[in-house]
Amino acid sequence: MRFYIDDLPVIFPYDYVYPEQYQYMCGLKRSLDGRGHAMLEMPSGTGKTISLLSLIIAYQQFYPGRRKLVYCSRTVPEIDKALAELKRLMAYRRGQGCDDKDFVGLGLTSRKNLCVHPRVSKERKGTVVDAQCRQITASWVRNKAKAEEGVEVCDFFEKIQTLEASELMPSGVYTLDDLTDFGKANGMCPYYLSRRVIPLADVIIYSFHYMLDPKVAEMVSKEFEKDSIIVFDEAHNIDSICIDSLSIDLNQRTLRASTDSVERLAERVEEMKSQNSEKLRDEYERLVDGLRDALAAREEDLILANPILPDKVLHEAIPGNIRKAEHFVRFLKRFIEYLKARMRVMHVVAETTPSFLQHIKEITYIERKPLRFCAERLASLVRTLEITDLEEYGALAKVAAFATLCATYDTGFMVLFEPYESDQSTVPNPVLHLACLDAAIAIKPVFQRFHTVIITSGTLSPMEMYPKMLNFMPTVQESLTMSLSRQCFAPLVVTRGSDQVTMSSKFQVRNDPAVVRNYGNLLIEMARAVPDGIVAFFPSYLYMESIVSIWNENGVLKDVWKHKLIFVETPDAAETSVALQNYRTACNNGRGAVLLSVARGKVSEGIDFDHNYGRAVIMFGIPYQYTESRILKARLEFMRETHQIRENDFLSFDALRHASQCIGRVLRGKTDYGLMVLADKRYARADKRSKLPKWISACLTETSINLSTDMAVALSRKFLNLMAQPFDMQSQLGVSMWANEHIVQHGGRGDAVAAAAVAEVEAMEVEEVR
Amino acid sequence: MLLLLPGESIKHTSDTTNNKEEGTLYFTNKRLAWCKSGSPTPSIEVLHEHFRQQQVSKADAKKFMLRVSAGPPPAAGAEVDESSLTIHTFSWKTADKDAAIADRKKFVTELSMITTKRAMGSAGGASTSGGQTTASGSRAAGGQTGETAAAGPTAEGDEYGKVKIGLVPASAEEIKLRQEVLSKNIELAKLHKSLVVSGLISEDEFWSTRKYILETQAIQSQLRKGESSTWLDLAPTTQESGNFKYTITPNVARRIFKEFPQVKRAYIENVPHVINEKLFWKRFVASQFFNRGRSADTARSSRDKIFDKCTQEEDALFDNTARYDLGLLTSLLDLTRTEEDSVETGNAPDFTMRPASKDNKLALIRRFNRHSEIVLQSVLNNKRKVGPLDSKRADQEIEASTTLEDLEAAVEEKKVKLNIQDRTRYFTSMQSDPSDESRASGAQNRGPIDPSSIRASLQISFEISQPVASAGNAQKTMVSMLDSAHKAAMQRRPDRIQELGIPEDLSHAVAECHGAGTEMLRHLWALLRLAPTGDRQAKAEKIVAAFDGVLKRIQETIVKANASKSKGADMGSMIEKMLQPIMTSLHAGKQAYEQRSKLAVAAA
Repeated sequence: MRFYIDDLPVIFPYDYVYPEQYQYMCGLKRSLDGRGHAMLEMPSGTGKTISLLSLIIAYQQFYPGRRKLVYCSRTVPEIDKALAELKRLMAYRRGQGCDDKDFVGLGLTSRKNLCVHPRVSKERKGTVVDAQCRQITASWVRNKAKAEEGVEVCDFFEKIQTLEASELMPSGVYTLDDLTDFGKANGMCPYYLSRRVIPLADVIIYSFHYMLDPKVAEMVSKEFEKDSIIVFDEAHNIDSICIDSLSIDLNQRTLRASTDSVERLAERVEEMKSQNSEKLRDEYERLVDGLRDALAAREEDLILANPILPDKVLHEAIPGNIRKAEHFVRFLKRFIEYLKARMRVMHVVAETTPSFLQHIKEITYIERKPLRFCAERLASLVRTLEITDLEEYGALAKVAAFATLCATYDTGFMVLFEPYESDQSTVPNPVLHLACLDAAIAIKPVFQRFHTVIITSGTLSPMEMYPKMLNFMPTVQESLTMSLSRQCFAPLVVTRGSDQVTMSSKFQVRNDPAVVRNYGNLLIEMARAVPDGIVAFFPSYLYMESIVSIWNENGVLKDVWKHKLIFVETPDAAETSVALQNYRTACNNGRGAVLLSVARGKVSEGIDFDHNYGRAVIMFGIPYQYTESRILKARLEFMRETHQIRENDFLSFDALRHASQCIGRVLRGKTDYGLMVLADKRYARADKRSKLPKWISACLTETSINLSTDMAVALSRKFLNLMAQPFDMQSQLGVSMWANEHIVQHGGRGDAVAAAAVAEVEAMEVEEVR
Repeated sequence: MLLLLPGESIKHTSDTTNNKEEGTLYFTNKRLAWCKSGSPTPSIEVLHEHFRQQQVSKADAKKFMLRVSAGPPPAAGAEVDESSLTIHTFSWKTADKDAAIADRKKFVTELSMITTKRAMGSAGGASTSGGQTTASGSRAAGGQTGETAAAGPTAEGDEYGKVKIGLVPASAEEIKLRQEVLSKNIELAKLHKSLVVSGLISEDEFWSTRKYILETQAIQSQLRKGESSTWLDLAPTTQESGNFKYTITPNVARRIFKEFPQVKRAYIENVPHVINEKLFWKRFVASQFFNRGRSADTARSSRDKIFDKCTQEEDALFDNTARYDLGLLTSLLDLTRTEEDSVETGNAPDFTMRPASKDNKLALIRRFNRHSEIVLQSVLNNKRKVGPLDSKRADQEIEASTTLEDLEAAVEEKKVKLNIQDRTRYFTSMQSDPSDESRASGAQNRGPIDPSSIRASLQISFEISQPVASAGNAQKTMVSMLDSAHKAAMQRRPDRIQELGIPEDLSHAVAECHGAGTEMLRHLWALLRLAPTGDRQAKAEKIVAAFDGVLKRIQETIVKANASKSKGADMGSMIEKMLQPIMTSLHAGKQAYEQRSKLAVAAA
């Protein structure tokens, strides 16, 4: 269909549009017009991605400037899906007569997912693929290959080097599969191909890290124009991703590996000095000049800033004491020895970064300034020494990044040393954490550089939290509800078992036999009442393990086995993927299955349990974080002091966004239906309910917020009976589904041109009758 | 000497007595048979499939006896004999003690071979059998259907899929199918009884017109129940002394082997040459391997060389993620792709989010996944494996998961016209709709005239007045005219038979008369059409003779109908009317036959 929002013609690749999609697009357009940031919450499964793409592509093609769209998503399957939707949209636009000339849309992902090299692509580990790829594509390897025989290079990579970026691939939308197919067919490396084409692309889809992680962003994202449109989809978790991208853990293994790497570096330096000291001298010269080029680029506003390479660094030359390669190597050695010494302490130390630096200075006389240049200096040295196997130096790079971050930021970070894994364990496993506390640091360059950053998800409530944590001002902030012609999901808060004992995952009672048994009974009863698939989420992996083991012994699972097969999420991604596939098979062939998984785990993010794959989702307890974690405590303190967010507010906000994310998995589209069971008495409280997204909390009525297991089961049966009736799609029209005339009815412009045409035709018909 | 079945050969013979009668016991590759002295047909016959148990008398007993229990295979739906097992006792003459024992031993070994073979092949269920047990005279009195069943080659397993229905002679599987069908369908069984059992037509002739019933049955019996998903949970019983007792039956052991191939390997390696079976299982339930994931027992159970190895093997199996072929995964579910896409960053998750490695709960979880997978595989095993994902299928999957189909305007589906034969009733529901006033008033005025009849007549005149339009196509016109005429004829038909209110027993009797009559007539006409031979003549005569039976039954039914009280309606004449066509046909058939036999006589 085609309709207008203000003067912008939007082509939407369906015959109807959901009202919320229309409103969502209106909100998007406002933020694009105003060149401001936006936060938009829209219920899961209502076609967020396609609305977003339809509007932004329309905007991009209609207005001058052709603003590039950078779409960040959470997981690779979600990238796949977004690309597929883009592809379909573009095909539809073509069908509607749009001439989107030279349109290129593509996705970026790792070498592992793209490689077509016959030997390298066989490797199972991503890091191995990376290393092997570098071994045959690094510039000095290729130079060497030109000079002498028998050096292996990658033909796929070579082919790309011979061509101009604009000649590489015809315009169109390339999904990840298309990219590999294209690479195979044309003998080009899809990985480098996609990276070469970035500047020409109109739409780029990749995961959050490519924008937020400074190491990756440096490579792929820094050259985007200022007026690019940045979208973070499924961004409810964006603060954690920001924090993760700047946090570093060092343990004894990392330090041992770093020591080895430093030794090797020293050897290489010696080797090079004896053979080809010129290169090292060149490097020295370069370093004297400092990072002037980078500074120049940044000052001219060409590139995205890098949190690891802050402005201060750019203004100064690299300090003299680490300019020489051998000096730098010795410097690193000293620093690592210092860290090793810190690891021998047997008590917990938590300190700010300035006090950590102070301590270093006292013990080792290492100044702050050289530490700040550590990461950059190491990168330069590795380049000079022509090292391809970066994996070997991974640990060392981590240490260097650790040093740089410590020395750069006085606030927003904390250095924490923990000798034991947990309070109970007796075997020391010392870890030195550098914990980023301020989510705003990592995302700051993005907000600064780009005019429009859109943060969107199915669950962003309460929305005032994000601007505080990420330190930005949204110009548009909207939470849309779901318009329904039938109530296709039923949130139920189960607070007690059939024996009236309250259920809760509160730490004090969670292992109480009565609670465990009641949770078990709830699962049995649901397994009995609900057809096909059930997904159950637990607040933590530890709790799931213990409860599953107890259930196994007290016979709960025996009853569940009678009704359904049981699959459980494990820490291993491949294993869990296979379990998921089997789960789906079991749902499809009528066996039915229960999937037990963890609220913050891999399954809870990005795997959909639509239709028969999830007729019910049970959230056992509230997925609070482990509040005794020192890092979390520090972060809470930081937030209280800087953002005035109270600890409890943040904790329940965080827990409930994960809970709502979990229960939202069950619903994909308005023809789908599912039960959402929240099994904890604390969900009945107003403060918790208010933190659920509006579209869910609006459906929580008095009759469904304080249920016992038997009542919940009775309600579920009723609901499932009702939903299993055939659904008349036409009843949606005008209520939860709009055609053009409904848009006009609701004050929109609709498809003015088409409407006029229709009127004309009608007039003609009338005449004929006369 | 025993009359052999096709493909049968005798392995052992022995003179024995049964029920104080002298005779010979034969063991062949198909059955165990006993013939009275001098008789070539066995009076006792136990097919291998029917053999259940054997018992022998003690070595020092006076008589040397072998007791054989036979019964149909447990899975068979149709039991020939009402009593579950038939027992036959054979005794050897005591003249030569050793010879008798040796003789008997031959039979005992052979019979035990059957049991072992069956145990080996029984995974798929009971073996099939054909024919029926000609049980010893005194016992197998009732329930015999008297079919002439030819025991075909015994199939291995019950692959109904291989049954070629309609081949002559019928295979054992087909006979079994027939029995199943008859036992399910009483009507058919009655017809079968009146036609086949009374010898009018042969079994094969009877079934040749009902192949589709057999085919349906074959498909239905092919549907197999999936494996039970129950978790193998060995719960000990507590004894008075406070000790625990585990019971491990061969069945349980088999399941343990299936769940834990490591235990199977250990069993094969160690039992019985290292430790005996009892000790093996004792150590098994005490082992850490068995108690993995159980909170209380883990610490208590001791180290055990055999089962610690199992534990290691299991861990090795679970940890080897390369065993998964990720190429078979739906790309949308492949979590590894996301994992490979991001660089490792961030603080490690706190300990509540990490798997606890030390108390083996992970192993339990992995066992759950494995168990579910095994159950699922057992269901899917004979279906084709999902091939590796090509990009086209991946695209389809992604498309299916992203499209919002309710936003698409409904596409007009291609409609197939519903062909309703009796349209007179089609509008009755509308007619009785009181909300539709005009229709109701119309119905009042014109009495119970169907509105569609008016429409139908209009239709006729319309179509007949139209031939000019389709003048070029005479055939088409004819078809449309015939169609109209047919429709008109339909109007005049009485209302549906159910509406007549015929008592159930009467309608059954009518149906039976029709069924038997038609079937007989069909066979008669078929015979008459062919060149007469003595055989056919005899058969035709038999059928014609049987007409009288049918006619008698028809008369009875009519009499019964006359006697039955029904409100207003003249049931007798109605039934008579209903049976008139078949009576006429029967008479016609009889006449034709008689005429022909006259001709034949004249010719002779």
